[in-house]
Amino acid sequence: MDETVINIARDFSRAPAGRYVSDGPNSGERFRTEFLVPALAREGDIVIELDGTRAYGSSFLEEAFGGLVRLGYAAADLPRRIALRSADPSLVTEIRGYLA
Amino acid sequence: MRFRKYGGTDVPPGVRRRRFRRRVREREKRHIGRDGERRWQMARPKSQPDFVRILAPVHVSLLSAENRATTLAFCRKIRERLTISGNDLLLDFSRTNQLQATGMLAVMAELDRSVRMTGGKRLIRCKLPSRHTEEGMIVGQVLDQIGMLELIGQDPPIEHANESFHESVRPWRYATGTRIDEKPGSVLEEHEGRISEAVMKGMQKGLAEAIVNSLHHAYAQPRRDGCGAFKERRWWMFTHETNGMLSVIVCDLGIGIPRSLPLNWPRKLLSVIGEVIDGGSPDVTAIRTALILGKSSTGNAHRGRGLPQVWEATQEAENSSVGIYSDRAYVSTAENGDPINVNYRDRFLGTLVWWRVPIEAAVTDG
Repeated sequence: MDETVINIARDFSRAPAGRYVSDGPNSGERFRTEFLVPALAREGDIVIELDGTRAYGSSFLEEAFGGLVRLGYAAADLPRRIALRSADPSLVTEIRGYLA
Repeated sequence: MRFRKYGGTDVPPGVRRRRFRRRVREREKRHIGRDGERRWQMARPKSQPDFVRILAPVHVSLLSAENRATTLAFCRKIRERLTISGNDLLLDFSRTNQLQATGMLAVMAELDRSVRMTGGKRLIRCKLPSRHTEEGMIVGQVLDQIGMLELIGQDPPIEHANESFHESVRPWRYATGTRIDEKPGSVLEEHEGRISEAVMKGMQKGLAEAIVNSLHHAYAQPRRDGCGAFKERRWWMFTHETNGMLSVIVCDLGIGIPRSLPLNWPRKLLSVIGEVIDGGSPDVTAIRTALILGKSSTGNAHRGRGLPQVWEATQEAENSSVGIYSDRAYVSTAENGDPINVNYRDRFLGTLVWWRVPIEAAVTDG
């Protein structure tokens, strides 16, 4: 099975920020709807490369990843399908918390 | 012709009239000199703008109670004169000799908002201080550098075209917007290389979260400033380098943390936490409570997690500091780690967050 690789800095924005689309063009909601949900709809695992952006605020991360759980994706399934790559382990831990 | 006796001399009516007008003018001048607003209108041609002069404080600052009072009074006069009275304004900075960044952002934000509320229909002019003193020259350059003269459509002094601005003026950067996009981060990135990468990341995160907090919470209700409704969710920011420190300041002109907190959390919970914290005043307690609530896991991830990230944005840097002004309260942390809680008499109608990072220390850090 193919894996989908999403490099946030390259594919989405170097400045991801905000929760909702009304907050700004690089919001967590837009990242979830345009990248995460379509990737989850396909077969295979997803690799998300987090490095290279300016920073991640909790509002962006919570809406992007925690929003998947609210949409009805199984919390037990998500960590298995989504692999997170970053030089900053605390960032990975934070996102894992939103996926739980 | 009959003349009235005046001091033993016959004085014609025209002279009496001129003397009366001169007395009124001089009395008015003394009144305005004492920070008063103009009370009487002199006859003027209708083609001329109806300027009301507002005297800017000597020190534009939010730091001391006295300077904060005069700076916020200046903001209030700008707001009310433009949006309620509908006057043209002459902002008189002729006595001003010091502009501190937090105070200046409060003034700039208030002026920008009032101009937007009136659709730019009112004429505004700045009277700059004399260029004969260094302080006066710097004040004029700062007003030009941050874009205040451009905002009101006033040409900068002719000397500005041919001179290099003072070294304390050049690092001032200003931005404003209604959404969180690349702009605020780009302004901060102009200082890249002056602070370590870790500190830069922390500040980028704190700045973004402060702006998101403004967008989500600050404009949830009318501001209650007596100027009518204005539905725009706007933020303003400055960055500034001075004395080896990088300052980043962001503010909104919304309802403030003390009013927005009860909209997002149950009052019972707030009163329980408030009793434990006891910040000395309701507004200080509200900010301290918001910092605690954001940290705790409540099961509802939608609410107020951003403020602790704002507060901890510069924790990677030694000798860094952070402060939050909201309504009457100001909270910060002393060098020894003790909390600073201040309750002022005057209200700042909004929330202003500042971070300060030592440039040299941060570079060696990285």
